[in-house]
Amino acid sequence: MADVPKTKIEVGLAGKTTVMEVEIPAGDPLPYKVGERPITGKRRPRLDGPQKVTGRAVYTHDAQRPGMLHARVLRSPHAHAKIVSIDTSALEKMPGVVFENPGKNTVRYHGEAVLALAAPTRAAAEDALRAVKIVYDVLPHTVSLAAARKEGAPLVFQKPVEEKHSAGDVPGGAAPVEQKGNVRGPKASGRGDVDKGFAESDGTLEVVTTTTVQTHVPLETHSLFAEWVGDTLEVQASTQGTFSVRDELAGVLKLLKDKVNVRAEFTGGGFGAKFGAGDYGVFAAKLAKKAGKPVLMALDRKEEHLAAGNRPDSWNRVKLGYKKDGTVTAVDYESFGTAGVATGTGTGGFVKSAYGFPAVKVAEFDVFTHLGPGCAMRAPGHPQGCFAVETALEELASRLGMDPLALRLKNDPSEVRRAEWEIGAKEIGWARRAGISKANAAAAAAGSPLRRGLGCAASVWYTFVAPGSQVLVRVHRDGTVEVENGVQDIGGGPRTPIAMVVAEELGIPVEKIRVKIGDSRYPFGPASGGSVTTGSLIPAVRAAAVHAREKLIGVAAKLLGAPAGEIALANGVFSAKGKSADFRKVCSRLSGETLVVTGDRAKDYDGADTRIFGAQFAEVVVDVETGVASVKKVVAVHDCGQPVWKTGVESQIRGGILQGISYALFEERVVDERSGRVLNPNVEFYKILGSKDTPEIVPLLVDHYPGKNNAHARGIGEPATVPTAAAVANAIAHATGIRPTALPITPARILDALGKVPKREVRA
Amino acid sequence: MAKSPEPPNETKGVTRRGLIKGIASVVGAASAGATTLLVEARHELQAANGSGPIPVSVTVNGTARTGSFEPRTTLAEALRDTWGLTGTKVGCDRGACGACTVLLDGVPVNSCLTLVHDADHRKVTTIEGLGSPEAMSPLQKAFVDADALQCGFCTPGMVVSCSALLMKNPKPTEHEVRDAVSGNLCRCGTYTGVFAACEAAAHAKSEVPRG
Repeated sequence: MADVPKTKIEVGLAGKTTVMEVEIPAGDPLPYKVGERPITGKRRPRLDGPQKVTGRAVYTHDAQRPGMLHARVLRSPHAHAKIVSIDTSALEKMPGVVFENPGKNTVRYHGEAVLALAAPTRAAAEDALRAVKIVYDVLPHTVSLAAARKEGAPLVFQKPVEEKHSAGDVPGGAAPVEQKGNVRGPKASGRGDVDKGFAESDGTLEVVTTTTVQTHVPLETHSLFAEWVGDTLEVQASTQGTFSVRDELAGVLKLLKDKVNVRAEFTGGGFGAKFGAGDYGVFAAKLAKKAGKPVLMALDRKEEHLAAGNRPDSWNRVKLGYKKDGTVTAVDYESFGTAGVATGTGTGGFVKSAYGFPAVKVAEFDVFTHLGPGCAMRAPGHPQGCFAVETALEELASRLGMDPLALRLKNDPSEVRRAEWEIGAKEIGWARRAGISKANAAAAAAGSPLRRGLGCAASVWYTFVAPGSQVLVRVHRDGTVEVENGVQDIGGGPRTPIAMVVAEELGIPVEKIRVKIGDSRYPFGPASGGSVTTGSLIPAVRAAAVHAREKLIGVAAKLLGAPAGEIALANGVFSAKGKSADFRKVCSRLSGETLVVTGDRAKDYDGADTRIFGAQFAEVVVDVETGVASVKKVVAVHDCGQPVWKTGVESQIRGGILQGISYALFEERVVDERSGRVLNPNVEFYKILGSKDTPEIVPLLVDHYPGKNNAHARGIGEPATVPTAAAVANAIAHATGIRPTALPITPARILDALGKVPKREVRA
Repeated sequence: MAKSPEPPNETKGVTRRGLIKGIASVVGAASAGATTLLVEARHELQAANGSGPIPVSVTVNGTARTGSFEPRTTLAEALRDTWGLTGTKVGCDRGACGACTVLLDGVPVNSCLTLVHDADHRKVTTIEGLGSPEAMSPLQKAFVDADALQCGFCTPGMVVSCSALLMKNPKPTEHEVRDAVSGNLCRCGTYTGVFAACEAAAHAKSEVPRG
């Protein structure tokens, strides 16, 4: 095979770019050059904003059809039980009720589905649920990480469990992993010579951190509408993956892919929990078939907490070997976590990727418990791992008497991140830190309760690409332009950047582009997980738009009597040799009724770093009398390559930060060990951040040309949430002198660490 | 700002709060089940001694709407399932997330905690009554301009709460905006946009509901 010619492209931070030679895949446009683009990269209102702010955007919850049934799931009240009998006889007498009983004989968590039914109204379905009589034989359970690890703990599974993956997980090979009791592991990984690293160190330091289970809490609960039209299943799903729902339904129901159509025009949030059809979705499809009527299955808030996924908890041990100058020479890292009846709790990604530690050894263990399954949640494993490692670094800085930022710079070889540290430090006013420490000491001496603190933490994520993403552009003879891709909008708002890219290439206003998404009948689009959407889609959009432009230039060349190479296209006008024709006129000369072109997502260029770096700084105020910590300001400096739609990027960053603060300070699933039940499956007692907890947020972007694809595009959803909790924890440490090692950092924990909780006498 | 659904209604004796009170003594507060009782209470009571559908008449966004509903039916259910106004969202069905916020005689209430019979002969304004994509209210436009939304599911409730604030207080401080939406949860994290949108709308013309 002949050598593919290499092309020189500019990569790196603007102002410091270097030239790299890459193979540009056949048919793919050259990447954006360093410099100005007229439309993309800028702020502008969201194209579907008017639908969303007026209540006209139709979500899956809003599906309505004549004769539609409402489905509900009957769920186990027990953490672990044998199902002795299920008496559904009462349902036979209820008008319009259909049910699906899969005949389970064991339930392994509070909230596990036992059977599903559908009735003409949601209220009637509730009545029907109560009419089913189930006899359970309750079995011993284990619901805490510590208890489940012990020998003799009730077993969750009798047989080895295979790891399952969703589109939101970090991709990777699944090596066989040992399983003993409820403990599955170690999953071992790492790099470098850890023994040598420790041998060369001047000292070692060890910290243990813990985090609790976090629930996604999308405002729209998991839901799926199913309707059979002939032998075709028409679905509307609240999902992060139109195609992953289609594929799961086709697989489970043994249908060909062309017999399942999934729409997801608007999804009310996902955060990693909404990839497949789920058991609830399969129930909906089966109930619809049985009833011969359309069925809407929408989980309630309680089910959402119990059975629709969560971020697993974690116990992390970090042992650092270090030099006196702050250089880390080796890291020994171990994590245990429970995803209930599921796997995938590892938190070792961050320690391996975030810094330049020369030797890292990671061992990750999943611990099974009788609790609802964990799943991917915004940057799986990373906020936990970041909290562990950044806590250890903070402790090391304190031990060595170093400035925490200086210590990080000692261990951070990334040029992008170093730029981010510098920008962020300036914006937050890191130079104030020593002065703040003095002011805190003065406040303590004066008996004032308020302490201020600054903290920082690093972010790392990766450029994953959904292969096979394809975009179709139609240009009609009347000059209208449509763009089609099956991708869904879970809040990131892909319609807008897609339109911006096409508008830029065709030289017409953004508003003129009609973007059609959220339908599995359109060309394949990525599932929105792992920050893949923008990076997977935008290069394909650009390829399609460039191909359309080339064709239109061909038409214009004929019309204007000039060679194609001389045609200029700007502001909707094609011109050459002093002659011109507007966009519409050129389109009217199309040979067919419609010009249809597609663009494929070519593979990434080799060579450049696939990691995405970020840095965040937090400023907090802690009341040492009440123990209440409040975040005043967060400065977030991130790398989004060349952002396409800056407004959306900034919104994503704000959202990632607010979820991170919520994780740091508030969110905690509470499980009663005796009954094995979750006590706060709701949003009153499972506290998430609200309007009054929202600080000032400053999102900043480095001007970066990563050189992986034709648009220098990459995602931002995960990077923005990885470091926030750690930065907040470190700021609290600065403010109070305590070292938070457990999330959430509640007032009780702060007061306890400050020694302000009186010791109670224990009576015999 | 008070956002609880006050039940001053004399025409019907059944309120959801009353239902819950009634059932509380029956079921007690078994620790693990306690959090589920609120939602199930109205169905339990309906099953025990509920009557059939009773007619109701509500003015929704200026249009008279009628229907026959079981006493347990919430205003949110009536608006969405019977009258097709799905702009009002149900996020938790227990008054904790605010996605279902509507105006009842100009006062913001959680429509999931308001029985439709409590809205009998009263005026309800939903998100659809505040504007349309083609004719957005100044506040709605300000939401779009400030990108005060991501997935958009909490947005109708957010807009209704802010709208109620601006009607009462045309130039609110940021603190007052935070108060006004303190019952509206947003998981995507759009609060800073909401504050900015309210500030911008306060400088535009005043909010006048069309309901």
